[in-house]
Amino acid sequence: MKDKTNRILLGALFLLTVSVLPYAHAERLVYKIEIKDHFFIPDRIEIPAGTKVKLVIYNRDATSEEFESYELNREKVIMGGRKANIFIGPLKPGEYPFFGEFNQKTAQGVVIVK
Amino acid sequence: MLDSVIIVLRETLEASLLVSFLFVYSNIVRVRKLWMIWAILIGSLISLLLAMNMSEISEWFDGAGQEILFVIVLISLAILILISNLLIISSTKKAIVNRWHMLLYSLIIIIAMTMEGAEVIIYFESVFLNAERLSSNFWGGILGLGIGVSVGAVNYYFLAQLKQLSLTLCFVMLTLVSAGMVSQAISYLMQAGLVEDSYPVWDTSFLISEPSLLGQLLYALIGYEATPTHNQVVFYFLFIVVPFCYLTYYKIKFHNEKN
Repeated sequence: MKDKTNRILLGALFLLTVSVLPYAHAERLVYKIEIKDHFFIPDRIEIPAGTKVKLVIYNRDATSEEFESYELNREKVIMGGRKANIFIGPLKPGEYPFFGEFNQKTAQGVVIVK
Repeated sequence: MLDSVIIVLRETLEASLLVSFLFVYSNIVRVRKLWMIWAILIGSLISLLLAMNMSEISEWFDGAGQEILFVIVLISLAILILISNLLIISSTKKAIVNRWHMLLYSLIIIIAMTMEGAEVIIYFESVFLNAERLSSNFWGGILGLGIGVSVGAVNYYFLAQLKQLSLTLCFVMLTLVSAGMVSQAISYLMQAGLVEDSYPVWDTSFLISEPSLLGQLLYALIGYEATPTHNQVVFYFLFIVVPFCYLTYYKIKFHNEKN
């Protein structure tokens, strides 16, 4: 009886490890973007296809900005002088434009997935 | 200027349509609308507090504070709307003043106003800090606010004319609104890296693209997304199936009781 319980526990531990592993790996790819004078710097980032990556966006302006992308299905308000994390992917190869909703004339960028 | 009209209109439209649907419901269950006017005011006040503290909130949970807050708001709204829909089905046959309805609708309005209001306030704050285009953006925003509120008012008076049909229309629309909220909540969880993203199940951007006027309207109304993921589709339909199953069950039960 005790043997059976141990085996179940071991199995559960194995499943937990296996399910957590991809997450531990996923945090490795980080891309930094700055918002300065209502521009994205860089305004072009290349990421690998089929991988989850983290965008860290630093808003160096005093005004808030909203990072938005219809193609990436992402939107996030980034207050003035703050940073924001946005996870994207896995994505298929292609171009995924993004923009700053509060300053659309200047704040434009694109994620290139290769 | 056009950008500022659209930014504010988008947020205002979501709240004002939701309020107009709930006004129709409150007519049906004979809840006094005065309570809901108070709810709008309270919600607006809390939204001011939220907007003032958004900087801090964004830093919570290792930078996922904004998403987690929005997910809690959206899921509670979706569940409260779902409850309203289930309650309205069983209350139409006996129109009584019901405190629970009043409380429920007020709560929905307060939460919705808090979230949408905060986004509008943050936008206006950024407008005021940007001296160059202050005037045109400010008036654009006011125009957006005005159009949003007007559309809600017109929607309410239009629905109020329809009598019995208005209940059906509201039921369908609110069901879609709540499903859209759940789908949006999942999108925020993926953005925060808390739920795994996946390839889209389908891509309807060639039919209706999200940035288009129709796409924006459908997004505000029913949470339209051109490229939804698996999780979003499953939960979207779950929030549609549940109220409609209950409606069918109630109709069959009522029909049997009558015979």
